Amino acid sequence: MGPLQVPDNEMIDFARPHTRIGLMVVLVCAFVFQTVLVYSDDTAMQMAPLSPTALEGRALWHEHNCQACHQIYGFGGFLGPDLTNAAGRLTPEMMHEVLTDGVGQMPAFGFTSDEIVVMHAYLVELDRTGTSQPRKFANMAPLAAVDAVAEHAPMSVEQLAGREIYAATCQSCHLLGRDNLVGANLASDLITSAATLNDAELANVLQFGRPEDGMPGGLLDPTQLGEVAAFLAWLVENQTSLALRLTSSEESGIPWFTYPR
Amino acid sequence: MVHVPSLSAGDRVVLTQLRLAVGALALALVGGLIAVLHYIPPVATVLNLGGVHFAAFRPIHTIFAHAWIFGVNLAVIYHAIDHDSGGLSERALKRARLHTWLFIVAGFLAFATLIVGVTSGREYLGFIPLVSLLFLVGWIVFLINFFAHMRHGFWKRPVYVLMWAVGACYFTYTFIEGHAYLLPGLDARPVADLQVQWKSCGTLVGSMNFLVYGTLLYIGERMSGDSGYAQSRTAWWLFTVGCLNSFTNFAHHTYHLPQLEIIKWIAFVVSMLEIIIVLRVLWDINTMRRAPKRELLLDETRHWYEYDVVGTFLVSAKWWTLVLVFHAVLISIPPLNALIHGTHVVLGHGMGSEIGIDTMILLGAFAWLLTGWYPAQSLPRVNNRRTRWYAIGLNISAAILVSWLTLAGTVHGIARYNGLPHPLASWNAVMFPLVGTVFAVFFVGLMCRLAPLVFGVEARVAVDQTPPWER
Repeated sequence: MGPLQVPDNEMIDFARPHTRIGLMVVLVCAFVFQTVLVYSDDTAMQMAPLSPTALEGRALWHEHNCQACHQIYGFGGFLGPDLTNAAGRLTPEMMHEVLTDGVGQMPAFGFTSDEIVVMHAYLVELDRTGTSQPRKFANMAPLAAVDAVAEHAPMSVEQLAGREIYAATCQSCHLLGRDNLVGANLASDLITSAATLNDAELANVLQFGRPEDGMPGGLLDPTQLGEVAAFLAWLVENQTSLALRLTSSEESGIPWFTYPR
Repeated sequence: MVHVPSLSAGDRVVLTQLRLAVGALALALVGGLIAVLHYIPPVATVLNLGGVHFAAFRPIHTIFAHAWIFGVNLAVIYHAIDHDSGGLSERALKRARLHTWLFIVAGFLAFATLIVGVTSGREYLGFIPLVSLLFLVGWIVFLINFFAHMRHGFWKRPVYVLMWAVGACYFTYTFIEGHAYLLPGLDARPVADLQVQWKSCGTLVGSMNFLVYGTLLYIGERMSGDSGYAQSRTAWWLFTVGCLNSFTNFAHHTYHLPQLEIIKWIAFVVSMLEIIIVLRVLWDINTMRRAPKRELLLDETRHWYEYDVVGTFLVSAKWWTLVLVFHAVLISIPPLNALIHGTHVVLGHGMGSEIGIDTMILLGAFAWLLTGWYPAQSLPRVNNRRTRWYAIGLNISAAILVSWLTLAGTVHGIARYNGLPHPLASWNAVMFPLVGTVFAVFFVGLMCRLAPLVFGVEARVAVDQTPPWER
């Protein structure tokens, strides 16, 4: 008998072969039970499968190893942000820019237009499956979200004045975080507009409006123009924090198992 | 120079596994260094323009870090088979050569494909399925070797043999399960895919840990000469708790995914049982500190582990186990899990466990195996103040790394919950690469002292010395 084996008369009761076999049987049964629960659980399988377009996007996701930097439901690399609910905050234009020219540490992948379309479709359908991160806030009204963010990123006097003008004048048509259909016209998301237009274009729109799209001009005096421009600049600067508040429901505690939408 | 006459064919198998492990470790360190530099934006821009992408080097780092862990474990297992279980037969030697070559080809293919950007895009198993197939075939050949030698009187063997057996078989299952994404129906359902993927990834790590714990108990038994612990009730109860955890607590990775609540509750309750392990390790550390000082092989006036580098590594692993198992218990509590999920806390825990627990134990095993092949005059290169300082530096830098990642991740999680940007993002861009580089420097320094020994075994001057395991 080699040194790895123990003589029978020195065997401890617990460690007799039949006891060990019994122990392993119990442990394996526990494993099998938990495994059967996982594979018989229809909760996730009942979700609609990805469309063919989204599936192409998912294939691109694997091909370029996006998960090395980004996460889905918190799983993946930590160099970039979680993209589970990215479709809710990235416009197709922003996605186009990021996927062709890159941003920060993200390389320029040079995706074609078709590839961007399928990747966008994948992220949109992924966004519908649930929430990847717990949040304290939920479905805030635009001004409520602005005020919540302002607690941590205070506004200047000029910006506060701009906020008041937005509340009194602009809010009826323009929302924050999404476009708004006003009659036959589409009033664009103010954050996206402010981020996209340069200073001259913004000043022009604020002063003269866009009559062809239903936006009247001449609503603001020169002082108010500056205040609204300052407020829009603050919105752009804090767009990430605003986006997180504009897409959830009511304030909730730290969740146990389910993250509220 | 006289060739050492006492190297058996089994010894050569052990040496081969150790050498491959060192090679894998080198690739893991280089991959990790290049990857972490991407956290510095200007450096990332330059690297990206040069075609050196994070998406290639992160999987290289994780794959070859695991290869290091498996390599040393295989070396120890083959050592146990060769010296304590009747030796390796001719057929077993052929099988060992076969699986070694399969691993080498798989490793080379994995590296080559990842470098050029060909990947599966999966966590842990970032290589293409062909590599998986080669590795799996090699692993099954190893399994055949293992059970061919261990099956006789299997249920009477010490607990570490069962740990190795469970780890090896369990790994086979989880490795195959990790490729479930190849099934079309699953890939079209991302949430279901994540459920299965993280069942596989979590249990894959658990299976790897069993190999490591078996190695620890084996080395401990050989060093102390006390075969009682590996047959004791305590060892078997700890094995039971560990096994139950590995088999059922994987859902603590997926609390937030839509799935049956009972799966999550089982995972939560079983994860909390790890408190038993925390308490036991605390007890062991307390006992160790109260134990009478042992005479050191070289210097009778020192504490038994002061210049004993093997002891330094194993004691380090004990402390890391205490901290990281407690850490694991905390982050398995669902509300805390919700806060830190998807942050660097998870990275800190993963790296901490694989460095602090697994690698420390395996470095101890590595050093212990070396002291068996070299005559007494060469022992000082291993059991040496400088080597020990590298080991201490490694531990301190790893502790800083894990602490920083935990801090950065916790702050990020709380800010994220409150809808705020990550306040330490710019700090992390400096700290993570900085501390990671310091850690790598200590690791390279340590391996510069130990690794040449494993490549020079055959050429040492022969001195008649009985290896420690035959005393």
